[in-house]
Amino acid sequence: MLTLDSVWKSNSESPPDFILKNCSFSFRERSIYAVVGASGIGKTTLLRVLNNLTSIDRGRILLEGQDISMLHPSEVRRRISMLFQTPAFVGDSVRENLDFAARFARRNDTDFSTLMEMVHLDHTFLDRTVVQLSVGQQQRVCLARTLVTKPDILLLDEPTSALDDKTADGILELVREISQQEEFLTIFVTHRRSHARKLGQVILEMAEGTLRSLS
Amino acid sequence: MALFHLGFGDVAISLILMAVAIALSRLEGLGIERSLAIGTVRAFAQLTLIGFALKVLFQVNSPWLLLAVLIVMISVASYESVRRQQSRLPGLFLITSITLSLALIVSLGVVALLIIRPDPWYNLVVLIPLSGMVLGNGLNIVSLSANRFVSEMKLRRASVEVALSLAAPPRKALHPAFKNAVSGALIPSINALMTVGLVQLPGVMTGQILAGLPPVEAVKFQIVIMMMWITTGVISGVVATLLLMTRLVNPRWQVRWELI
Repeated sequence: MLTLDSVWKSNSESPPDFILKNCSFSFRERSIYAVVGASGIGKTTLLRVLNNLTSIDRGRILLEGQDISMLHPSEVRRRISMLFQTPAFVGDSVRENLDFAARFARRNDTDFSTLMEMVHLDHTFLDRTVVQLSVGQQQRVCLARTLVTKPDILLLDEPTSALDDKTADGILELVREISQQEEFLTIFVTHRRSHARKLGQVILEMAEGTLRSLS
Repeated sequence: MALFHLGFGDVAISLILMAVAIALSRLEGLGIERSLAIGTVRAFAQLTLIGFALKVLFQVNSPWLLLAVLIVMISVASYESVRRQQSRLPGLFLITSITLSLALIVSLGVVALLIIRPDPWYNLVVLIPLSGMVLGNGLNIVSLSANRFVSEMKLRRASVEVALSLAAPPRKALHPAFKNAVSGALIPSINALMTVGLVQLPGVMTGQILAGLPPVEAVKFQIVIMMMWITTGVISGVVATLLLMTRLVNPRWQVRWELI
């Protein structure tokens, strides 16, 4: 469903240091992949490349056989949604954040109360300001926001790194439940192998610029 | 006829004020003594030179000469705007040149051709001082808004990336940074507009009154100048920041963070 075909990606240093080196891998639909690797190895860059937030130097990324560089950026980002490491917002209230996502995903019919239920938050949260929420609740709101676009693929960039173990487990369980229910292809990156084992159906290791299967 | 005549000795006495400013900077460790000193020498040299140059230019009075002077003024302003940035921004010289040219066309088009209507239309006595005001203010606003825009982008990087990842177009994702940059750069101009006559008596009006023009005449000119000044500021902030945005975002809707 999503394929990396001989992808090279360097940082902007001079001389360039390659983060992805001739990386090839095919992610299958309706599966949960956990990518482990040390901090700074390039896991976030991998997701940023897949979400079209940054360009690759060489190679191709194929979404259902189509090169994503040939697709309009908005289409790529509607179909591939990303949850970031640290919660960040595009509006003051929960509702404003969901509205923002709905507007650009052209999903004006989205029922926000149902979305809140999906991330195990009461619908009264909709009118709360995001700064009033705990980090765990904020990350659930961000997860709900990524769901507004009804993506095919969900990218998760260490979304539990700022959370305590109990809250992190809750988020991981929630992601598993939603991924299976919505039949997403989910790619989760983490430096914690325990988290990778909890969520991943397929566990990959990122090292020396490539991906290899551990499972 | 001027009510007061200043000799060069009188002008030199104004250096006492600069000495106070430099002493205060040194006392409080502001580190701007060198800039103040160089700026003072430059101001004396540049203004004296332009005083003599304007006398010659006004006598020649040709449209080509006007064009040449404007090109020099825009180039110097664009060079200064690049120098005043904390980071090297791509294409800022060209961005400033385009922005200031546009601001000049709009402002002079209305003020010179519709209101003052000089004869001949390219009268340098009218157009060069007006252009100086437009370009000076435009330069300040471009510098401030470009600087602030980059700072805001860095500060808001996380929310910008979230907005882009939600399929928002770059104009929307960067709008909070754009809005803060332009409105922040315009705060001094808007303050001046709000308090003109109550707190501030603008330099042009004060100069005209001191030079012997009746206050009511000076006020009429000042109102026109204020309108031109504010509009120039808004055009400069908006156009320069939008052009800068196009340099910092590529057609794939990706922010080129490495450039800032």
